[in-house]
Amino acid sequence: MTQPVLSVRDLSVTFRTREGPAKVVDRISYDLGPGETLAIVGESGSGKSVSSLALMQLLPTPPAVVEGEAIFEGRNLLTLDEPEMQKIRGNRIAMIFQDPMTSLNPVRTIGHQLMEPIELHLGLTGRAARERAIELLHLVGIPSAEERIDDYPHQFSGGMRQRVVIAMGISCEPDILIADEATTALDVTTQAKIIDEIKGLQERLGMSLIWITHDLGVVAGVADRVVVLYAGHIMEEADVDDLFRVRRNPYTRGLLASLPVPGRTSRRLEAIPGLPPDPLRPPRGCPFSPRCPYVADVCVREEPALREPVPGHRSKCHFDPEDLHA
Amino acid sequence: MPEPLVSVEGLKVHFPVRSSGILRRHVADVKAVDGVDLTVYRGETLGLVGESGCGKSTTGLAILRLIEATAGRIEFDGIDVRSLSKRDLRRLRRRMAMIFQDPMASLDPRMSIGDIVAEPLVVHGLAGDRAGRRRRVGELLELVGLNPDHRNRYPHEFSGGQRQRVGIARALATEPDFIVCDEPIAALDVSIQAQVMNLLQDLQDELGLTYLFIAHDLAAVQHFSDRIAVMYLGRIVETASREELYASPKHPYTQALLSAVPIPDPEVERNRRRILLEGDVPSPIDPPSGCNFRTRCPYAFERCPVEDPALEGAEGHLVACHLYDELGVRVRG
Repeated sequence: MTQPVLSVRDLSVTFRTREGPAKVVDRISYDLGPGETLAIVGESGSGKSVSSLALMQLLPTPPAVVEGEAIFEGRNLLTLDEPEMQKIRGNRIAMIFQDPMTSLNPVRTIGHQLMEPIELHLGLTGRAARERAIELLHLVGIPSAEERIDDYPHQFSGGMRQRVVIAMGISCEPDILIADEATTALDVTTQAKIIDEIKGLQERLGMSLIWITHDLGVVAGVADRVVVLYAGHIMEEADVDDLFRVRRNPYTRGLLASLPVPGRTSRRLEAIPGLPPDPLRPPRGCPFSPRCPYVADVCVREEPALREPVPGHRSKCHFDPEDLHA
Repeated sequence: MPEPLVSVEGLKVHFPVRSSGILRRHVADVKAVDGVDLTVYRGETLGLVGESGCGKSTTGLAILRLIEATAGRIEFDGIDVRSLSKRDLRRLRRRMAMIFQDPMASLDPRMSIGDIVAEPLVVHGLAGDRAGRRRRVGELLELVGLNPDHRNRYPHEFSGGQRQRVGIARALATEPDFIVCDEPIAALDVSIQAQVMNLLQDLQDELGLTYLFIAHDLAAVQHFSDRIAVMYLGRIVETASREELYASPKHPYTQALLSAVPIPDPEVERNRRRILLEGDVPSPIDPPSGCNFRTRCPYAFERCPVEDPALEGAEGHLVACHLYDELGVRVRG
């Protein structure tokens, strides 16, 4: 593999709460290659958003305690001071969020908001900044951008607002774009267009993408590699085809089996019984053991390592897939 | 031939838009539902699918008369729902119920789950005295997979999936025939969605329930429904059995919608052709003339802005589109 753009090593996030420490991200490690799309998939509470917020130093510390390393251009993002971080955030690594209405300022025109990172990071001013902003709006597919640049966020539809947020995200041509459930609030037809748009921009700008989502359908469409998170742990990491085909890990298996697939006619879904664990009271051994259909004695005794039995395919399970028997 | 339990004809729900001045003049209408025809047969699940703002939830609320329709006819088991007096409507409501998207918003946080489930029993004077109600609440909680000993707990003490079970138990309290499920799984995690869908299916088999299942998630609708109605900008554009709708969608909007649903299979995703629609959904205040999908339709022709297509076809596959004749046969390329 070529030199990764970002290397995350043993990243942990613990929240100090009144009821004790809650470890919501537990020693996760992954690499992001240049131009690669890495999907981080998991359910609510799996740590997928928190781990990315930690990378960007966007978590309030305290109550959060962040440990580990995230190496970007030879420097650890987690230990940079705020002025250094500001040079990277929004400029070299940008992030877009689920709800465009909370990422946009309702009392400022979108032009104003779009020009802010351009002026701050690229040093463009006045007319040049405005022209660049219009160019960006064109790029993300907003019609008659020259007029719409002076509109306020409420004058845009949900899909158009999300395009504005994407334009802000890519305004400085970042090396890495982190999309945190960026299309989740959109209708499927709009989602299809936005995904198309982001993938096209990625090709043109050569960005690496971290795509955080709970939607395995979206993962199948956008990702090169996938990290599956559960209760703060990486349960599986693989190339997208291997992940969906081999289903090495019982949690990934359960997740895929519980999805309704259009065109498939079986009447019953295979639900995963039970609930994800409470981070204040994590189970002993494997984090998935209380819900795992293949659970054995060793699973509740010992936490399995994230093994790599096949190069490039890691799974946190004591067993190989052929040895899993319910 | 199955008999219809609910039939809706020409349903319209318009919300007045008033001027902001002191006169509050009536200046326009938001045509949230603008001429919906649908039939739900006894014992089946009709899926109602569409994107945000298409009027699917408003349709569900209007059928139960939780909001008043502007025009049209709603029949429930042969009874004309819109002409009922308040008293008669209340009596009829015992036979219909609703499950909402967000159980945290639809459950009173200050009531114990036992009291929440008992409330419809009290309102309708069912299940006898306190002891009888207590017994019935225990049965209902058990039916939806909750521990009856937890009846004194409050909604915040439960997870999202468990709270949705409480909402389902409340809906079942009066032994309804018909339940409108409005995005019942949209707020839940993937692994929990399957649990709730399986529960709803088991309850249907056990109690012979009829569902109107409203959702934006076409994969879930397709899994859950016997027949599916697709809605766009206040109208039904296509109705078919779930197999038909998946295998041979007719309306250009249905085709675009199906092509946009992400499929959890990388190989399928790589090889599929998406139909990307131009522009945004028009405003329901001033919908396009004729066929209201024509502004985004790749096949629109002279007839579309002039004439409103009727929802028609054969063998239960109905489509509202000028590309098809009255029997649903494609007559234009």
